[in-house]
Amino acid sequence: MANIDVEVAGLTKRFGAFAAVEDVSFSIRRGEFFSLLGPSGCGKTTIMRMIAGFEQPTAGTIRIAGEDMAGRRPFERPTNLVFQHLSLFPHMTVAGNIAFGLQMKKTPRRETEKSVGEMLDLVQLSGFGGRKIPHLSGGQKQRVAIARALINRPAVLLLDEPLGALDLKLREQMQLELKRIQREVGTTFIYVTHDQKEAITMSNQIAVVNNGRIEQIDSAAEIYERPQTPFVANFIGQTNLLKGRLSGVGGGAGVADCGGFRVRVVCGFPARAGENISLSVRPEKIRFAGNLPEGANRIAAEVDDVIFLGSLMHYRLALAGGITLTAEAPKDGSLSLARGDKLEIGWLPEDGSVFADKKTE
Amino acid sequence: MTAQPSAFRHLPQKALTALVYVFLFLPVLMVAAMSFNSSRYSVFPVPGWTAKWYRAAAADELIVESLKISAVLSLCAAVIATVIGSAAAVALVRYRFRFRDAIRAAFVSPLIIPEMILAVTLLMLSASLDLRGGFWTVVAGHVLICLPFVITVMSARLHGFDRSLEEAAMDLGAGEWRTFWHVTFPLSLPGVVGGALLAFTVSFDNFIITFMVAGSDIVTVPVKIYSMIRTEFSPKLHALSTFVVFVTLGILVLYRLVLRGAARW
Repeated sequence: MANIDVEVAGLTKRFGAFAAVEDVSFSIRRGEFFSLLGPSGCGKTTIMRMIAGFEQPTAGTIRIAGEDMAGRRPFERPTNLVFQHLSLFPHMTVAGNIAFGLQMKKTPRRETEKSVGEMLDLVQLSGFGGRKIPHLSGGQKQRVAIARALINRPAVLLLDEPLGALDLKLREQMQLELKRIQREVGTTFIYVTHDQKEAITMSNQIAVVNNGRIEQIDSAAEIYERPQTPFVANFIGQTNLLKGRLSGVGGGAGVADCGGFRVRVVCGFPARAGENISLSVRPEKIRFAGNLPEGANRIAAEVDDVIFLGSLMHYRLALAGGITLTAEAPKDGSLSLARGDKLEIGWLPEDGSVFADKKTE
Repeated sequence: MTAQPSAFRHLPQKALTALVYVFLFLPVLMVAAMSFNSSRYSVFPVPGWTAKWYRAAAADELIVESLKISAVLSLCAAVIATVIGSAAAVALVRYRFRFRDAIRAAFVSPLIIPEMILAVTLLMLSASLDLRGGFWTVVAGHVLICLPFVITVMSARLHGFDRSLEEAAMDLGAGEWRTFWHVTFPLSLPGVVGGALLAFTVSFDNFIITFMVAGSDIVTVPVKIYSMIRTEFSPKLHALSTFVVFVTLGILVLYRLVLRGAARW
């Protein structure tokens, strides 16, 4: 318990009858890079604003470094925030912005100057201290915002989609930068984003948020390989979602009738025959005739479309019953398919994820 | 390739614009020319150039006195209007409350109500309160007509204010008061200064309210100019008028500079 930095339990926020955040719980170990990932409007920003102290929870508790944050104002919390639009003070220099947190703590001038220098080094902006904020590039502003938020040595650094405004190249560069900074300072990061690639690249743990609830908390690999809900399977990476009805259940495995063909599935939950399920199969898990391993499901398919994606190929496959799947294969010359080709495709039962169709996503 | 810039492109528009400017500024230029006119009479063409009317005006105690009264009066009115108007703008922009739109309309109404009616009402009110003619009664009247300008300038500034800057300050450890002092106030300062400068010129140029409300001992520059026209016409009048025009223009230029400096933030 000692190395748990952030503990959120039963966190709920209602605006009138609308529940923006509903019974959210998670705990984050010290020094972890934790992402809150979800579509816009899912409540992830509200969760973060409650941790920072800008919103009051309707119910639930937030503990940081063992202390209950209830009733603490934003300026009384060991958290700092990198704002979505950075919110740098336009009337101050770079150094003025970074020093602000220490000045509020009435730190002696010499100590402040030393810390500002260290922060400028950390974000690789040495020598930029005297610059005015409007004269900086997007990436430089980003670095100033991070330095400003880190100078008070917060227990937790909150980041609210700070890379959203940058172009793709710079964003990827800043993702690596953020990872490096986090390794160097060892602070717990809570990163809010709607970009699944960003979350997967940087996080130790990802909480997938949807409609104010957490759908799954796991490492990036777990979330990708073993999604626990259709929403997670769909939101993280690309997937094929099939509807089916279970029959012949036994020992955690069964057969699903997808209407037109049957496939063997592995269920991670106690399944009953006759139950409706959703089955998720990632495009790269689909194999083609000649490469189908022992024990794979085998289904007749016709190539409907071929899409060239650089190093990868995407094939749209038409199956019996009007079902289409997307399959992905490396473009290495071992497979050359054209529209209209008929062949057998398939996947291993354990490569699919099965979800009980009780609630809708 | 863009079309070659030609002196004759848009000629009608340019000519019309020039005419409008001539119409606007010719009277002012005439007064300025007459103030340097060596003749005692306003004749054209000017027989010779001199600065003696300025020297005469500067030596005229009553003129100097009127400049002093105007400066002090407008300064008081501008400061009071800026304090009240800024506070009102913060409330009108930042908070939701009952009758907010009605209150906003009430504050801005002196712009719409004919000034003569406003002046007569003020006269009647101050007479019935037995405050007629006092310095602060005139200041109160000026504050009334300056408020719409201060509130409009400040509201515009506050509407463009990014509230997350205040949140950033609080997040970094500043309480409400220090957030206001370090972030909100410096960033609204151009609005405050702009409003104050505008209020000063509105008050400095005001004639009707001063004339109706002020007692005989409060003679501001516009009132002095009016009485000079009626009693002792002299080119000193042109000198004083030209001086006032340039003071007002100077303040307006300052106002634009403040706003332009602020735009870079």
